[in-house]
Amino acid sequence: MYRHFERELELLKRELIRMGSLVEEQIAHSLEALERDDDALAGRVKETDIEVDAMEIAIDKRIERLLALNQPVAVDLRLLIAALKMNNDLERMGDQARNIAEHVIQIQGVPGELINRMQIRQMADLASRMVRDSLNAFIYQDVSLAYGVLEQDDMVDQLHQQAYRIGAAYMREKPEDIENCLHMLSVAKNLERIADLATNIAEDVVFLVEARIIKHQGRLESRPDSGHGN
Amino acid sequence: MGFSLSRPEVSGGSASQKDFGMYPVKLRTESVSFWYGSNQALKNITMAIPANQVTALIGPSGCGKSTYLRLFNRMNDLIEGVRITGRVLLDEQDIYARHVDVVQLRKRVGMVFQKPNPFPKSVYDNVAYGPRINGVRNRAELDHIVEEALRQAALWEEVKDRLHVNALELSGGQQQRLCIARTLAVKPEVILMDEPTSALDPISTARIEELIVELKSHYTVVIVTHNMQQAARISDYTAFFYLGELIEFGATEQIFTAPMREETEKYITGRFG
Repeated sequence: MYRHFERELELLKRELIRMGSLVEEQIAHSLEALERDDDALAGRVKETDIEVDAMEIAIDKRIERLLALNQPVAVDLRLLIAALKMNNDLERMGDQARNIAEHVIQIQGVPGELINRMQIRQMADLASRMVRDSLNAFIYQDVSLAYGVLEQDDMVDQLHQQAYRIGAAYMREKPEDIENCLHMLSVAKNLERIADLATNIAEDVVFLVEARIIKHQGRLESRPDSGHGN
Repeated sequence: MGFSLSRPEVSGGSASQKDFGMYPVKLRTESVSFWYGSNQALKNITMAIPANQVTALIGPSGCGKSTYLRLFNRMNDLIEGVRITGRVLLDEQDIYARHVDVVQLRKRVGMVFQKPNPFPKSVYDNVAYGPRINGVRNRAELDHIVEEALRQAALWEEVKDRLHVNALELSGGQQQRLCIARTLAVKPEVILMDEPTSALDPISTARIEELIVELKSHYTVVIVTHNMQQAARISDYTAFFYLGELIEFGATEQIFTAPMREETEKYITGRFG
């Protein structure tokens, strides 16, 4: 019976990895579509999102079944809790990639100057690396990789703030290009959200491996009457 | 195997003395070892059990958990060729000291067994048995004790009109609650339970579990169970035994969410052996 349960957990893990790979591909393709003004590729990103949504539901069902039938405890329970949250985070990453694809379809031409000035490629590379690292942290249960993701998130946040300032200045400078600039600000926001969601996954990996909850730590600890401790 | 984690070992691992908050220590063993002939069943167990809480003893068959339970009312004394070293304390009094009256001890420390074992007498006489032995003769007083014990055991409503039928006519679950009532009737301080629901159906099991949780406001409960979900549901503290050793002792919530010892994790997640 327990071997059977372990096999089920292994299958669940594989499904999450497969979903993660699909989302990574969505993110990469959405950026490629932006840089090449490739509406067909952007369309494919949107189609893939339907597949990701279907996977989310299938994984949710699998987790529900595993919880109901096996009453897992300790590391098994943490795995299922982490998997449930990861599943949700991956699906939302897919939504962000789909949003980027939608902007690509509406943007006129390749906004090369904006991409350069707003450092969109740098943000995208960092966010993609965070997604990859958080998934690898999960696969190998590598906590140091997970902590690395948390650090990279600060860099993405900084880039996002810079992009916002640069975008605002750009709109003053070139009012005729406001529409494309607004799209690019949204793309920057989408990338920043992807990085946040990768951070969530990294936090879930720490919970899985170390049985510690690390999210919101700074904010909760600074609360005067916080009894927060783990 | 991807998911068998080896979390960092906690040094020492002797969770023997615990801070039980508002609950004082009721039972305690100090370096207790126990032998059946040449076979050592318990190895140097130091552990404290809090009053008014439910403490579960878990572990695979032969790990020593039932032997440990039976130390506290000296049930092991009945077996020939046993030997014990170390100290077993009830309210800090050594219950293996020479002057201890075992009958008095068993009044304070009652026991409920795996299989319901009512006497082949009426429901009433089963519950009144202990008080009568202890000299209660007054009918009204006995009636009161019997009713109170049956109410505490959540059986009164079901048997109040059948107090004089033979106890063996009751269902298995009712018989077990009757045995609990019989134990309660002598007003013990501690109730030891050795797999009290393993012979019962799920509904009777749920009743007994509910009862155990209610009993702890008046009694200290120590329960041996093979059902880990049961330990998780009803106990406040859990001790994990393996091969005669106490591997880990802690708050049940901690044991079942983040056990410190790898052996405990393996056992509760079913990856043992």
